[in-house]
Amino acid sequence: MRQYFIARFLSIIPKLLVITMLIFFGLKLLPGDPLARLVNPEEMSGASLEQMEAKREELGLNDPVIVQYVRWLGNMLKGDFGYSLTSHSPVRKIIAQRFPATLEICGLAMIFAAFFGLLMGCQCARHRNTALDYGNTVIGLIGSSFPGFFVAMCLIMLFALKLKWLPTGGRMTVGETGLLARLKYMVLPSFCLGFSMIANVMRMTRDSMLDVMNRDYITTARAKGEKEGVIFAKHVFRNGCTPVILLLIGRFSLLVGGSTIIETVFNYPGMGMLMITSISASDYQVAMMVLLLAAVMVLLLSAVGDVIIALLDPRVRFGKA
Amino acid sequence: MEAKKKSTRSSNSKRQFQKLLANKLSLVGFIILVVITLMCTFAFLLTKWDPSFIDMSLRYAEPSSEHILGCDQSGRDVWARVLYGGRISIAIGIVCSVLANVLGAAVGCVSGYYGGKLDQALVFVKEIFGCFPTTMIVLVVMGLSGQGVLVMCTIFVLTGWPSTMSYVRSRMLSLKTETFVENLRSTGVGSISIMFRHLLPNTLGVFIINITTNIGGYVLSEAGLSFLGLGVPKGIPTWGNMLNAARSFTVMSEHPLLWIIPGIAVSLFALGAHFLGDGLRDVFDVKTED
Repeated sequence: MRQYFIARFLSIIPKLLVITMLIFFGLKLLPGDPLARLVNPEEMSGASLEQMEAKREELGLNDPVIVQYVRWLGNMLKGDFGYSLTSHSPVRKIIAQRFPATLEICGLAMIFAAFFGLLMGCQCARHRNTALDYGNTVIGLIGSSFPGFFVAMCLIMLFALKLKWLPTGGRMTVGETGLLARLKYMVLPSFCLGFSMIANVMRMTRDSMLDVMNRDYITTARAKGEKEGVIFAKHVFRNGCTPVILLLIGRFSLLVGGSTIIETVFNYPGMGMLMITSISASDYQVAMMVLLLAAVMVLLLSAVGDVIIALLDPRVRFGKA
Repeated sequence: MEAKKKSTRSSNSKRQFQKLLANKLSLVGFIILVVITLMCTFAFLLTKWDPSFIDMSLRYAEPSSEHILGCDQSGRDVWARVLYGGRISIAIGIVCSVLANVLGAAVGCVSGYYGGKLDQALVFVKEIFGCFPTTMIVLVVMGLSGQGVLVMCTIFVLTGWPSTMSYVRSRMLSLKTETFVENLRSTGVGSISIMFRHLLPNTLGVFIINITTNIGGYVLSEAGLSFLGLGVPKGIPTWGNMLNAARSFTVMSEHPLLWIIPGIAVSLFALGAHFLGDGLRDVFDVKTED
């Protein structure tokens, strides 16, 4: 068991190296003086050319690229992500501010999508080929077809501008920073993010449950005289959940990556907004770090997903893997 | 022999076509797609206005018999812009979807058939591509290279191939062990011919499904990016660029037609693609892949 975990986490190392390398060369290819991105700008504001050259030498910017890459990777591990060109503060600080905001709405979106996706998917599976099944499928497909930002605009129009129940955007009112006070800011963005995921979760749930329902052990349970409801809850649901959990984990990183547009519509200060504002301001040090973080998250979560599956399903642990 | 093979194949595809027609959802999707595409292609028959013709005296004009959906912030006819804008949105969707899936199928085919080191390398590349969220990659590259339709489409294709590739690859892995492959090989048929002529057609079902749903997906992506102002250059009318005009709250609440119409167009088109894709999934009897 432990061997499997270690092997799975070791397997992401080569990918991590390639991804960091891509980002590193991306940064190398950027126009402008790399010194401006690596050193605290206040420190360098009055520096002469000689001082700058000395600093460059000190930081090893004249070394071979490979040496620079290794050193850069070391700095990254120490949490030194460079400096933002526009706000002159360390990138680490900026990301530390923005990341929780994105996690919050994505988490809520996830709960929302998981709840409705599982519920509707199970309904579909239990009442296969009935009006309920088709109805849920159509609702799910509508969710994945309507662009999130369009749904967002319609909701802002209705709930924020016409009814004035919810704010048009932002993250919190000045002075109220508690989670509950922030909740009303999170409702609409999370709904828009989650809505597009329901169809996927629902379809996966439906197919997976139907697959389990056709197994012999379900027939056995039925033959033993177990009630339909109990069979579904005890045997079908537990076994059918595995692929859905994997899907949800995989989707979470996509949510974080895909929240860019929704965050912009709601003016929500998360990672996505950070990406857009820094690109519009040509602040690529920040943009590249956001991209790197997103990619690393995808990698880590895929490993976490596999580990969870291994925990749930002994066959993966001992059999094929 | 040849004739017999042909007749079974045609009756098979006929049966699949009938199955498709019997599936109401996919029929609706198919009709939506065809109608919207035709309307956009023959836009000149449905409106007499030029989508880029600016008439400042008609700024935010209300709908009238001349301009049935009114005019936008520069006095351009909204109906004409939706129709002509759809051409570019749909074209981007179709081209990117076909190219991404062809690339995915080709790579998956080679990877699965040859196996070994080459396979490992290609799978590795695929996984690296899969790690970066498409929207973010497009934003970074567009920011660096400047906005352009070509740049956007290139990135769409480069980030879009992995899912088709994994499916085709896994099919290839099981197909290549079948006896008929050995037969072909023993009669001297070359690897390329076996791969692309004999094995690849077996994955046609998923290929068609993916193309259909991806067309909807890319139309949505284009709309999203252009909506941010970072997709198709502003001068070109597309559904996304029309939605972009409505990012201010004043336009949003006071001129709802400006954004609701293109929004509905995008949504309907994507809905059609998803309906059809869903129906095709039943026709080809494929289990959900992710």
